[in-house]
Amino acid sequence: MTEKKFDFTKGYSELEGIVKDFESRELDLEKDLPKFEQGLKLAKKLQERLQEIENTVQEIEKTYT
Amino acid sequence: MEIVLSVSQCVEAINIALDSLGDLVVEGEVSGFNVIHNKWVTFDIKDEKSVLKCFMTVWQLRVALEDGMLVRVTGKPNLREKGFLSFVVQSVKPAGEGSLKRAFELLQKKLAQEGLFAPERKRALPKFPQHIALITSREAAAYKDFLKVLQGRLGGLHISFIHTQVQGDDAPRQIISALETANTELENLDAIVLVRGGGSLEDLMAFNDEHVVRAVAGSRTPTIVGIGHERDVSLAELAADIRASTPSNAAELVVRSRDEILADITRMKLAISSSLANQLQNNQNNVRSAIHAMSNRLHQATRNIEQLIDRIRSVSARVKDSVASSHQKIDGMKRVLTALSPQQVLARGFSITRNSSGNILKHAANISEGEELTTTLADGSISSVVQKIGS
Repeated sequence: MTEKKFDFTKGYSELEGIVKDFESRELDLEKDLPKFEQGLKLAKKLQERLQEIENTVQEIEKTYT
Repeated sequence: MEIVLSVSQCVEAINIALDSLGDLVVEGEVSGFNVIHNKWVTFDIKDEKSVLKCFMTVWQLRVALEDGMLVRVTGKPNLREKGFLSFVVQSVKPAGEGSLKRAFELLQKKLAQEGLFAPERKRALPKFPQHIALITSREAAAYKDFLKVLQGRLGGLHISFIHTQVQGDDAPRQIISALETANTELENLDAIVLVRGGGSLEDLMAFNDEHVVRAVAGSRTPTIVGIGHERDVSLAELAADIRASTPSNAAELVVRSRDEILADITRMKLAISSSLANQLQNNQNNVRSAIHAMSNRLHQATRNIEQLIDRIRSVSARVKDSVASSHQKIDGMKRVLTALSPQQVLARGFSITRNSSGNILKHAANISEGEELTTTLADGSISSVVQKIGS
């Protein structure tokens, strides 16, 4: 399996986490701005990752004796 | 010379002869179906004229049987030492749609009772699988359908494909072996996909094979099974964590569509942006209301001062009034006092007479004749002597 530079699942759940966090409490503009930027960065990376089209198919050689 | 055999030799000779017949496939109706110690299975198959006693292991029996069912058994006849002929069955399968359906129903009922299809056994697939195993035949349309549908969805997926037969006598064994391989040899596997296109109940038999169904249910990796057309149901599907209606549907269920995920990401982006915007708005509102509150208080303070000044004004006016009236009162009193002063009284013609001791005379009785008196008038005094006292 090829190693991905960006883990889609991890990125997605991190973004979900930020959304949940932001929706659940009062924000501190100064303190939360970096988190907000991180969220936008994640969204961008996820969108980029979505552009990857190719699936790889590898046949597992198997003989049924 | 006549050859004389012992009974055992004879039985052996007959069995050698029977063996040479090879595997026989016999079709007949089941009767006297019996399972002994959950290990051995005995039943008869019969037609209008004849009966064959069948014997097999429970392990070999992969479909549900009951009396009256039309079956096709594969096996060899064997003459037992006790002198009766037993048909040793290697495999048995229902013959004809009716029997297939009945076998399907019986097995479904049995496995359902065991809880194999219970909803609480179902596991969820990872949201974004990275590595899946695909088990099907490379010649099957299902293989192409599955990959084609997958292509239009989230990419970057690694698919380990394991080819198996998906119909025929060897299919169950191959499918079970492929499931085993996927579960034990593939690393970081997120899901196992087992698909096959549509077909008759007989074509789909491998997916109603008890061992295949159990292997699907027992898979360590979550399974998704899509067999046949939408209306087809197989027991393997029911045992899977996720049941797909078709191979294409399996692809849709394994991997979410790009548009769907894109919409999700956009929604999340919007959510955090609006959270922040709301906060910004809140802060602005807070500042605004603080300013408002301050200016309100300022106004209030100004108003208070004005009221205070008004009160001071009215108090000072009242003080002024009261001072004026006091002046008037004092003048009046002054006048009264002046009018009452002895000097003024004397001026009006009154006088004060004192005796020789200087006491003012008020009663005639206190005076004696010859006493010297002093009378004070407004502008001087005179002395006189009392001559006579009247009453």
